[in-house]
Amino acid sequence: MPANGKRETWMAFMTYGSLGLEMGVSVAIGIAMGYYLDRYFGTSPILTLIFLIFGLIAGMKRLYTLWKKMEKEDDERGDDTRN
Amino acid sequence: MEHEVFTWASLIPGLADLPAHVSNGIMVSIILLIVVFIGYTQLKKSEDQIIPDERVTVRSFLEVVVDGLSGLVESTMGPRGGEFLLIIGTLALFILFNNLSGLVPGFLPATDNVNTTFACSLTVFVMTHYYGVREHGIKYLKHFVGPFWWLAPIMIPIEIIGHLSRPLSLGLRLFGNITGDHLVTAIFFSLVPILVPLPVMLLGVFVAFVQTFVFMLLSMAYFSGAIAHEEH
Repeated sequence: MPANGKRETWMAFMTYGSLGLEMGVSVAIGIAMGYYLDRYFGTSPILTLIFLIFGLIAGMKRLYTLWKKMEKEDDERGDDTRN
Repeated sequence: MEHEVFTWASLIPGLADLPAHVSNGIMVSIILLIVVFIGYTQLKKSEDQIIPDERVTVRSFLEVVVDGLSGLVESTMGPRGGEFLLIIGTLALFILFNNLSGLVPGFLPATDNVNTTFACSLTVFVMTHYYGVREHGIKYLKHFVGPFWWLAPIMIPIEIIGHLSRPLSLGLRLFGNITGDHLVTAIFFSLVPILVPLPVMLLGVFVAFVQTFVFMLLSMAYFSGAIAHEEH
């Protein structure tokens, strides 16, 4: 278990370490999509703002799914130690 | 960093006119192909040999590499990991050799150009959705709708943004880390060429391995997310 635990720590470090960049990038993609849609439809700045909020929610959703995954893994590990 | 630098690729006739990242990517691929070819001929020669070699040979070294890769893939993705060993192993070896080639004088790592890293990450992006559609058929699109049908107009753009952010962040992370590391090494080298760049180069080896590992790990997470069956 100790060797396995060390590897798990590494994996967790890399998975959660990638979260920050992904949250930032999703906001940027949202703004870019909104900006170009605005240019296409000529509705500046409504779509930019809407897609900015979509991007923010997408980043938050990524955080939420990772949190759920972490909770599930914690539960599984708790079961392992109890048995 | 647009000044002329010497690269080994500029000595080879066909490659001299290409951009630096393309020619170095080709050279790294050629080196990998030679390694694979040597390993393949060794494997052919000793196909029915059961007892492993006593010393470290090309064959046993390559066996360790392939075994480590497949063990990592299967421990992360479960029993279905074998299907993805080929694409993940290819990407891992290509990225690792490119990253490490930045530490050899006369090589510019191909991964310090966004074109290369986005080529790798877009491959992962396209293959993720290919595997998803192959696994679930047209029902794969239901992943994008979200839990309730009336949330669909909000969830679809959010999911699309979330999916697009994956290849962008994958490519950007690899590019940023390798470029930064290469730049720091170059600056230290230009200041004091003796002994001082050594710690930075050591850090470079570390960064090369860690970034390859991160790329592998995230592509595996995306693939297994695409083929996973929803459990509620």
